Amino acid sequence: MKNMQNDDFLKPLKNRPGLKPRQEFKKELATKLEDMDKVRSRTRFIKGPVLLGVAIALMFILFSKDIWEQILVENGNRANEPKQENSTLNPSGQDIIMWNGQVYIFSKKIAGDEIGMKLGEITKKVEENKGNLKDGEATLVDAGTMVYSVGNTKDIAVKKDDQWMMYQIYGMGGIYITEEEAIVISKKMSPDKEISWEAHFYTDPAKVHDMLVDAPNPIWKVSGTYPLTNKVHYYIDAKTGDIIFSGESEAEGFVGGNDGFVQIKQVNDQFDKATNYYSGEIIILLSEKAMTEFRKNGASVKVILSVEPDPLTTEPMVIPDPRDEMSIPFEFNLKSAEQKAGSLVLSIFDRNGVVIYEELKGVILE
Amino acid sequence: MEDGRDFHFDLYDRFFEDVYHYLLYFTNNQQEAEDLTQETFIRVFKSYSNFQEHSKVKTWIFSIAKHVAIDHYRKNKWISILPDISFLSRKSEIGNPELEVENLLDWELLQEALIKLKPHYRNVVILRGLKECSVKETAEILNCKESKVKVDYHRALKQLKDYLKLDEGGVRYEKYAK
Repeated sequence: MKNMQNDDFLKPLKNRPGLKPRQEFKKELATKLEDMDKVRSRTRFIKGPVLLGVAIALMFILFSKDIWEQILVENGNRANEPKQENSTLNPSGQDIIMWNGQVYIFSKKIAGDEIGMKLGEITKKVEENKGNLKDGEATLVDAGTMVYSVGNTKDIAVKKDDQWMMYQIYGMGGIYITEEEAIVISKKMSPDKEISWEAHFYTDPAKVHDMLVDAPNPIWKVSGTYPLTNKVHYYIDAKTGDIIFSGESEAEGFVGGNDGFVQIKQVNDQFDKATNYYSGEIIILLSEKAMTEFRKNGASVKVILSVEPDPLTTEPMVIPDPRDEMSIPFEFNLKSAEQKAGSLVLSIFDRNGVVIYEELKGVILE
Repeated sequence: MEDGRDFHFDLYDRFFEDVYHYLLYFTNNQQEAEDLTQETFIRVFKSYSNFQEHSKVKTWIFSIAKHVAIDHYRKNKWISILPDISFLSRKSEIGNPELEVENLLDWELLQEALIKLKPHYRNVVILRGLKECSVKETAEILNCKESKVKVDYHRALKQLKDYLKLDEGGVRYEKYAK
């Protein structure tokens, strides 16, 4: 039996039909780009004065108080009067519920009312404060209004008394589900009534978890804590309400499992440079729930050393008698000194081969 | 300016085919690949003046192509997938595993399996496995860490093999035959 390299099976695809693009298409696109280039060259000289004129006109409009008051009255907005004096501020900005991403004006979904803010005032406040705000900072601009930076300096929330509005200069708009809705979605997935829930809103999902690098919208991270401190997390698209994925840890590359379900206590390893022999043990802690599940569904474990050019894997080892603390040995003969850095992946799977826990740790062998 | 224009078209000539290949692998559709290639180079031309050379040009252009592909994917999430019958293993009548691999692992099956991968895994396979970008280049294009590229490549290949019902040696087998 031919022992194929890990990705050799991709070879037929490297020479698939249709790889050679149509020459007509290449020429057409080149012509189109040339035309764009010519237009750009021609308009370069008139761009500056035109932009200046537009900017002056915009400033006139923005600060023309009478015009905007008339517009707001016609739209039925309420007068901008403070409601209560004892508003509660949230320094983390996590109580943002929803914001309608029109360029400047926002409404509060729960109340269902339009909250009137004079465009000139809000713009002025934002412009005055955005340059001075760091992420998470707040600045009191008058007796009832706080201008607040959330996520990054492009996202600014204005809290007028007990009502939040979100201001987004660069037009990242949308209507988002509420915190309560996000928790309801999560509860349907994990209906255990003993779980306590909390939710956090993130405007930049890529900073929350590697799996969210491609997430297009802000997300709700909803965390449910079981009585024995195991946790489950649901990452929910805040615009669509779709669960993007669920997990329990934010360690890189983590798949499945619960905090406390299985934990890597420590890794004891040694690398012999002379023989390129890498060996050691991974000490893991199993919760009661993990031990019960492993006994019921059967569990095996393997350790993968993800190095170039090919990952190395130990033979799967059955876990016949799960205990609360176990040592998982591993040994690898590296083929060359080039395989120096990678990841050590502990993979636990049930008798059907379904992975029920994975965690990885970066290693550098030298 | 003539020099500026020539420099842009130098980029076009150098990377046109690579970008087209990437998008063809991503979409498995010639028309879509052409549309997205056009979109990519239009964006490259529009934003070239903002390119600050923090990364290589190749990495930058592929990053743009990746965003174009992902945007397209999000708009067209329901991709036509061949019925499962295409993925049912076919037993070799000869009984020779090597020949079985050669007969069964044709590009169409591979391409359809590639399309079934989620976009990030698809990107890793296309860039690492098919376009043979280095781990470093792939990580820069996908804006993630090199260790993530390695792990995800390993997992993506495993998933492809599962779709194609290949064992670790790359040989097709009947996993659930009774």
